[in-house]
Amino acid sequence: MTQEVKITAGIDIGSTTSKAVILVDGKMASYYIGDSTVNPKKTARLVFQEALNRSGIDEKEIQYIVGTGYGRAKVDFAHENISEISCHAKGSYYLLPGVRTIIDIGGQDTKAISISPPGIIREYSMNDKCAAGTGRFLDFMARTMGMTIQKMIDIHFEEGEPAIISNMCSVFAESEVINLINEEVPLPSIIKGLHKSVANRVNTLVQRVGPKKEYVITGGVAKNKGVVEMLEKTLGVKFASFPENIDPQIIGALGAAVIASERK
Amino acid sequence: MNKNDIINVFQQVLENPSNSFIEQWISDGGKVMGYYCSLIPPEIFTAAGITPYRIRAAGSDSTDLADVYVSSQLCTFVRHMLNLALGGQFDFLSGIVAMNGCDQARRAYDIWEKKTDIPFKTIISVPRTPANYNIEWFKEELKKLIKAIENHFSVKITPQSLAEAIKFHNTTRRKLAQFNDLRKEPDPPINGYEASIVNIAAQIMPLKDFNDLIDKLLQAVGKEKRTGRYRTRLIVSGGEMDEPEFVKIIEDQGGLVVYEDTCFGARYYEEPVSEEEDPLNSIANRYFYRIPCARMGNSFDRRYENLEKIYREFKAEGIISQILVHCILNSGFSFQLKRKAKTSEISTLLLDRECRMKGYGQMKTRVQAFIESIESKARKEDKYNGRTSK
Amino acid sequence: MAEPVNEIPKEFAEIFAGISRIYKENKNNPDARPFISWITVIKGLLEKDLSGIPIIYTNLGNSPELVLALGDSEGEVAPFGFEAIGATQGFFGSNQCNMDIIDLIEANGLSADVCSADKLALGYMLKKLLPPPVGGVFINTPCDSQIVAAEGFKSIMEVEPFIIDVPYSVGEKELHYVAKQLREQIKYLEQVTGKKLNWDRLKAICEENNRMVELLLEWSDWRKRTPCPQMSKVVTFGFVLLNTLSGTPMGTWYASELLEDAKERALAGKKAVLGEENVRAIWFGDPIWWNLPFYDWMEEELGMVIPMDLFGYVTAEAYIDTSSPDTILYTFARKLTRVMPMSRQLTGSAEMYIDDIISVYNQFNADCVIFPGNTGCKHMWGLLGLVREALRELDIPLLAFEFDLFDPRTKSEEDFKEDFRRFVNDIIIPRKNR
Repeated sequence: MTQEVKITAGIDIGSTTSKAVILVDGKMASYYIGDSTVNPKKTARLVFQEALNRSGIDEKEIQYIVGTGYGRAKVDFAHENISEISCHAKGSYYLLPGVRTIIDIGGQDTKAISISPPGIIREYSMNDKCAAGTGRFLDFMARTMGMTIQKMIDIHFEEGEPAIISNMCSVFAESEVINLINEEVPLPSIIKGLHKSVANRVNTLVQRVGPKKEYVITGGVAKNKGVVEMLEKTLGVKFASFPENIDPQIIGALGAAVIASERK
Repeated sequence: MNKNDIINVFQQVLENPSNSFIEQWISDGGKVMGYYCSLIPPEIFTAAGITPYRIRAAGSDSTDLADVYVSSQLCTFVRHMLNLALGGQFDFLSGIVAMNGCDQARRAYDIWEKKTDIPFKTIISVPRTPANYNIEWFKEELKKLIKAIENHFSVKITPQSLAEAIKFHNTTRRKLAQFNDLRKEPDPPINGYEASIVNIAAQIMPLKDFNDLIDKLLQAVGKEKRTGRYRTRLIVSGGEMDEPEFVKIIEDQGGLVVYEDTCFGARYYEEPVSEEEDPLNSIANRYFYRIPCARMGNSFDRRYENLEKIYREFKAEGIISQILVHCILNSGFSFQLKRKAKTSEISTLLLDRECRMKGYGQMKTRVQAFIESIESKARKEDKYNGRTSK
Repeated sequence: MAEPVNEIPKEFAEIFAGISRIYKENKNNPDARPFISWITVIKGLLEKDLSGIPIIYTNLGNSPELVLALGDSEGEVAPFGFEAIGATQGFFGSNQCNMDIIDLIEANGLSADVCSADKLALGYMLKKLLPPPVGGVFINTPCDSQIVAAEGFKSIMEVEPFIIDVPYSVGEKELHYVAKQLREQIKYLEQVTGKKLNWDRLKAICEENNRMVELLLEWSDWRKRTPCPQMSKVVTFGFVLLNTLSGTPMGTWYASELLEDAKERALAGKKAVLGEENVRAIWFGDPIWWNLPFYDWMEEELGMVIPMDLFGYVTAEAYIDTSSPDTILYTFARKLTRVMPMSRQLTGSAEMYIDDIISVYNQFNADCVIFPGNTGCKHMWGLLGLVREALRELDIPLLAFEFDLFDPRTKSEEDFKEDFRRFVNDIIIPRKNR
């Protein structure tokens, strides 16, 4: 690390949301999360600008920018783009050096990453082409049930045993859910069943990478307490928690900013 | 016990990997040998005093453990079975015998072999063509299997014990054939759902218990009222089909299933082993030369001929060829069947399915449409023949 | 064939057009010598006049020696590796044409899960584009799709096939069992072609095979060098070479071209990649035969080379012992089961595959292993978990993905590139800088 103050940015353009993080001398100065749009270039510019506004730092002061995520090639003002796997590994390791297994559940991709110090990726696995076990799957099910994701989380913590949802294909799972509703299975059971099915799917991905303790969860679905509870039960572990001011959705962008700070 | 009581007992046998009869057998000190594929002769296990148990995907609601090792590109029967094994739900077995039935089951055995604690594990190689010059190989494999069982379990499998086992299994086969023949009647006393429950139960419980129960069942069915109104009579064909629930879906749409040309169906009870000759030769001959399944090369014609024969005998009006998604061998059979259907009078539906599937919505629609097409064909024929429609 | 002789169907015109175009693009490139030689070989095969000659189809686990030895003089009977047509279309012709054929055969009821090599073969048969055979010899390795292909061949071409059963287990007993079936196969071949097998000619053909094997063994030694001297994509042709050209002077010539090019380049200090050789990967499964330029991209963009793949290596078990008819059949059985790509690795338990990966990985000084999961290859999909564990134990990085070896719709070129970039940049390079 150089002596001078280093100001960097990480921009993570995901399939559902886009994130920007500004890092000043190794400390997070600001972040912003916005919805992804059909125009990733514009989105990248927008979230970057919002993060800058929140930090009060001028764009000219930023010394290095790294783009990541699904739309990373579209961050045309970045100096470099790095895959989200490296960024999630870097961001997680940066905050929690004890972490060896990272689970990232985003809108379209779910990944399990195993790392060794200092943040070297050993293995990763990702979901197949289908949406099983991703944020989009949950959105789809929420729509089927006519409620918000937050409502689903609230109902999850009501009394009830998880119902069995055996099909991971969104289309077939939807018909299973409709069947369960028609059979008047209580909502908490159905919702727990759905969350459990996501947890099972994710667990399979995790077991493929030879997981070790500690575990951490990142990405938008990390904020879904229902899924997290089920996943901890399935894996038989407690997730390490990020510092309070850290939103688990920004770990990719943070990792990008950290990688940026190691450049030059 | 009336018919429904007995069917209920069998139904409970099917529900989970283990069942009360197997548990009783084990608590009395008995051993159980799991096996997969209908070309492995359970007579050999019986001759060793071990109860044969045909491995299936009973009660599985997930493939998550299996999917750590295999991909969703493998069929769900194999994945569910493997999932149960990895979850320890087959730990009541004293051994398993696998074979090179298909590539997927073979690869699943690799994982059984390395990742489960079942004490005795072996695989035999059964030829892929029933050519005369290959039967010696099959006999040698059976001898090797016998030796391995003798060594591991400290038992002797003698020509006498083999001959007795053949008789025992033939008795069950005869009873099952007698039972399934009732389905030839115009208004049979049992439907396909019930029959498939009984047929599967025979393969997963001690034979003596099964024989006692089926005797009672055969007595009881005579007194029962008939199955009732059905729109058509169908044969279900294909490979592994261990789910009576699937048969029920077809019957709920009005298609009475009169025969299962499947591994858990007729392939188990048809064609008894000869009791006349050397027992091991007889066993080898029966399994090697029998009506082939889709894994055998150059086998379609014989299998189709047999299907036509059954079709006539059971007065069927259509065939549902069901295949598990990703099954290559049975999809090859379906391909041939579809080619045949172009010139054949027999109405044929090719139906993809997943093992342990829930929510059969789309399947119901396809079956119903198939039944409607059979009915409209029949109406046309009746009209052509100057008769009124049914 | 019913069609007039000089009218080439549009599907094959695509192959010839592709061959001319790719030949022109490569002929002045000194790095492309083994590729140009390959084009020459394929062109020679396609232009062979088979009219009036009895044709025997051979499936992908087979090798043509016995068929070549029928009759008292050369060329009385022609072996026809029928799966090679789809491959040739993928190498040089039109992927669209192959996709149309795949769609056609699937529309006729063949499952999408069957290996696309066999989907294409049966599709081309169904379209009546292949020459009519008098017989077909099949072997049940490497996979279940071979049984489906044999049944499909029988019903579409209306010719009875002969099928060899290769057991699950591996050993001497198994080789005797296969050799015994080869004797039956000879009876079948003599009957359907009306030609006697000429043992003297068979001996000479097997000796030709042995010369090719010798060259290939030496060639693979040169490819062990770091940096690898010769382009990646030629290793994938090893399969067609063994399956179609074993025992022919053309096969031997191609092997010598491979060897000489590798040797000359190694001695001149040349390498396969454009810049630094960053990554040496063992590709242990089906190649991307619909996209050979992908291998060039990999070398140029990532500095990644495939010194060897599952299709390219032979072992000394490929030698045929020509001392007597018995030794010929016994060692030919050994070649079929213990050397032919995929048959070797996918017979028996998972160790057969895993031990070979590790051995090739070590011999070729590799950094990582590529596990290309062809959709139809259920063996691979059943093996993946155990392979992962075995390589993890040895700290060997692994890239696994699903694709189709002839159909770009399963995994596109862009997705391939994305996966490879990610693997190299996220895993391999950081490990090297550790």
